[in-house]
Amino acid sequence: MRDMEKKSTLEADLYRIGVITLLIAVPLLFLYMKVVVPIYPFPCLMIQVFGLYCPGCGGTRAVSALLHGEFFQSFLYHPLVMYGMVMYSGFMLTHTLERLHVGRIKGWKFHDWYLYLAVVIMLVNWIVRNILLLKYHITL
Amino acid sequence: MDNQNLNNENVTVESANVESTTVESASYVDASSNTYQSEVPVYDASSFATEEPKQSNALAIVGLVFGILSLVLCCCGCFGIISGIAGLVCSIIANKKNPTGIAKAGIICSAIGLGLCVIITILSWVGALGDYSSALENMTY
Repeated sequence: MRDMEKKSTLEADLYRIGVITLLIAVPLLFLYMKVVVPIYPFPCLMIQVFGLYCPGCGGTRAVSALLHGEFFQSFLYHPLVMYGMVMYSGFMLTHTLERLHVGRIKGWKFHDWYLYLAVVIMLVNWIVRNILLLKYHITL
Repeated sequence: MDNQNLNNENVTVESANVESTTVESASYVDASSNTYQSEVPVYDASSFATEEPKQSNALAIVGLVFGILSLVLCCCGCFGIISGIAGLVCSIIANKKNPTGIAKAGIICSAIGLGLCVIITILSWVGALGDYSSALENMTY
């Protein structure tokens, strides 16, 4: 019983953090994509210094494709963006519907493997891209 | 009908009295024998607290998210450094309060992300840019 209360507290905390993130991230993202990128697209310093892709290579293009509704293209550019978007929107949507008492929808429970999987996706994407670049000279 | 209820109540009251007397006698016996008392394990609140399964808290999760962000943003200098420092601070505080796998993963990711950011930023500042293929020079992250 105490464990259940703890879990619900954890998810309530995460929901609040998610709302705050939404309020901060959306204006910043809009500012970045519409103002900063057209004027000064940040060069990838890692590829200029080491000649390797960084773990976030393709992130901006993935966000841009996602905002234009090209989900598959976004996944190809960087799968972590699509994964994060699905997990975040699913968590927030189900918890919002639960709080509004819409039907019998219950909010997603948080599991640690959500974050471990995010780390694995990022590392696999990074390693595969660099193998393709170094061995087969395929630029993505 | 009323008599039956009264009788039942009397019975329950009596049984309760019997239980209370047995408990008292047991405690009296325990208190009287010192050798027996020393063998009885003492349970306090802290011992129960350690038996609960360790659950990651929100601060540890935020720390790991910042750690992942610092790795992803390591190619663009200041953003990666800021998120790396934030992730490291959150993860260390969370790890001190409740050492979980998420908190440790947050420390590792944040430290690697912060280290990469600092190295790349310093190398790009001092002009240690390699001459890599022209196809990559316009690459944005």
